[in-house]
Amino acid sequence: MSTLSSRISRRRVIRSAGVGGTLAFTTNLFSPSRVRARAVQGDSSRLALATTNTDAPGANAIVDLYTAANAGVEVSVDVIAQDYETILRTRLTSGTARDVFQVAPGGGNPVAIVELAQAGFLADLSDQPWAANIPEVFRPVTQVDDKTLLLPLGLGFMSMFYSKAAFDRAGVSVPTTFDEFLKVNDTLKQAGIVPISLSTQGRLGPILIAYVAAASAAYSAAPDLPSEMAAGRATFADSGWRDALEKIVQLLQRGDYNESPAGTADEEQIRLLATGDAAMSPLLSNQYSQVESYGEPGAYGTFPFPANNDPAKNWIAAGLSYGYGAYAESDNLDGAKQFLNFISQPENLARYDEAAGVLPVNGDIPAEVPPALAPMLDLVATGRAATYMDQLWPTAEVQARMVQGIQELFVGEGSVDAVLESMDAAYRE
Amino acid sequence: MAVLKGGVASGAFSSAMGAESGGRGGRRYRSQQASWLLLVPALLLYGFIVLYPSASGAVYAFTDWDGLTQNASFVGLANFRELLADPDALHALRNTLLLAITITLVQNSVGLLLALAVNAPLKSRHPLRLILFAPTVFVPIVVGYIWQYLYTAQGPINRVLGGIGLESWEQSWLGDPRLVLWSIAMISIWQNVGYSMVIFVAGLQGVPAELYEAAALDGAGSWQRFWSVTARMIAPATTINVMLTLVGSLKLFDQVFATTNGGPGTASETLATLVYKQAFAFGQFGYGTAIALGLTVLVLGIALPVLAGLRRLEQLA
Repeated sequence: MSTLSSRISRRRVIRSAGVGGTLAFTTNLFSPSRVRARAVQGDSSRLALATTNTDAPGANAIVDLYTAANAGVEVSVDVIAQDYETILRTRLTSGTARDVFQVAPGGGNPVAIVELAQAGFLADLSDQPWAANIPEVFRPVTQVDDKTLLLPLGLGFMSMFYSKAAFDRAGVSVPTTFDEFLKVNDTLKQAGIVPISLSTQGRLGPILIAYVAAASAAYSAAPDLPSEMAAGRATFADSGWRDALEKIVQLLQRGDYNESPAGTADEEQIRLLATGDAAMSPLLSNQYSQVESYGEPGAYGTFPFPANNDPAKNWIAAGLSYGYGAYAESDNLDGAKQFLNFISQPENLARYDEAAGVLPVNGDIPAEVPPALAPMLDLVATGRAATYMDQLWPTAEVQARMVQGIQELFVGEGSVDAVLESMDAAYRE
Repeated sequence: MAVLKGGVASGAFSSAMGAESGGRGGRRYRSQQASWLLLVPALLLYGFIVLYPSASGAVYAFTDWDGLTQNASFVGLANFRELLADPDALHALRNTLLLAITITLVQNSVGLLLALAVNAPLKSRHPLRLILFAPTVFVPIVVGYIWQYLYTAQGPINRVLGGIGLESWEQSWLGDPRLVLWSIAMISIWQNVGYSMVIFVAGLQGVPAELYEAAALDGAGSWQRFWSVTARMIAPATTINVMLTLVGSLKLFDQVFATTNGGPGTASETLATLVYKQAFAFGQFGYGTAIALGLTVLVLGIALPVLAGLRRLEQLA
């Protein structure tokens, strides 16, 4: 009998594999481990930035400026084209996050600073020179426990966009009250023009219509609604959110949207407005360049959703776009902070904003603003803007329930009560 | 003495036979040992890449881990109790089963028909097989995005229907809760029917022609030849195809995620998309893992009895 056979038996092989596997398995029991992938400690000449597809033009522009001004420093830009939130969270958990990465302001998002701060992933940037210059209105969503964790890069807003050509064809003007809005829609329909283009197939469409309506219907009358809800003194069901959703449904029942919003893609919503087949559409400010690319430059305007019959009470939804945070466990944290300081210079932020297609956070930043968007920035400056609602919600599930509920409303299922109830339940969890 | 000699002889014979059979048995034993040695690296790799991550991941189903923080508290079966009482999960289970049954039945039926067609002595059978198999190699999520465009209310499918005078057939393929599941099933079937076809073709090519000749001589018609010869002889291929489509469709994710992300509302939510939402969107990693474990149990609970049944049918055939 061979020596090999005498030493090796099937049972012994299986037993050994089982013991080894059990040992490896139990050492990881209940304790998520982080694997440090970096071999180089404190290499100040290298910096890595993780960002999204939409941010990439801005990121690349600012990195070019930075490397030109800092010879010998290499900055790699890691563009995550799909599923940024999932990939970032996985990297953070595994200890392989880049030195600087995009984060969402406030909460209510899988990569919001509130979420990431709980696990200690974000470096405290409170002592940075730019931290004191963050506009007061946006400061709450850049901080957790009074620590500044995010460099704001730009501003966005959601409002109604309209096609000047479609309005001219129908002979209507921008409505400033809800009653006018309904009359304008009737006139547009008689002229064979779709009043409002909307897609509820994805997530963005329901968010757009809900936020533009709620900004006017809920937050203009109760600017403290977020803090009241956080204190347990208000709910979605007993706030202006009910009026907002009821108005959305009223427009649906009147046939004021395009055919089958549930079967319409996001791109189609923009194209209908751009070509003048639809007169209005709720959009995000950074979608404006796409509208112009499908249609004609300068042929569009913006106005707040007129949920009220008092024009002064019609607001828009606005808020900081994703900003940059620094990885608390970065080997080059000083380099990361230096990079963020460089970006925060007004002329550099302007360069970023123009490349990324976002609006400047404040008037000190000399970025060019398209004329169509300027009136809405005036509303932000005069306080007629509600911060993006999800940034002040405790979890991402609240927005998910809202999206789900609005999608159901647009296919004739569910009810306004059910949507509000599910949002409140998610908020309380 | 004769007995002793015979005994000795038989003993010697037995020893000789034992040595002989021990030799043959020893060779077989050594051959098995060598086989195991060759298997060990693959088993270790499989264990390290598949089994260990799966098992250690499954532990989180008994915790309240949020996917980010270091600490996770043991919560026992709380996640599973929540799963059983969660109306969204039960709805997703229903959708998952409907999709799995539809895809398994339709994909294999159409795959078999296509296999019978391309197995015929046509000049163009090779290019046809290539064309029909081609969608299988596309990335599923890309296929999902392409079909999302095709299915839009103003998209090519509705435009073609309108163009040929079938406006009444135009639908909101992904926006109508009554149609969305079947629309998604169509995407998966379109992409993978070529794969089923190829496996059936392999099975068909193993059927001896003499059996068909004998059946024809016995007066069997086309249907009888198919049922009595073809269906029985390709039983193993049928088993493989049914199992692959059943298990794959129970775990369907990419096409749903790319087209509707479970919408409108929850009309196309499946257990796989629910796992993703709970774990990655809502930060409920523990609960998401519990759903994933539940899905694993479901797949095993359906696949194993089906496999046993198909194997039995193979033996009967």
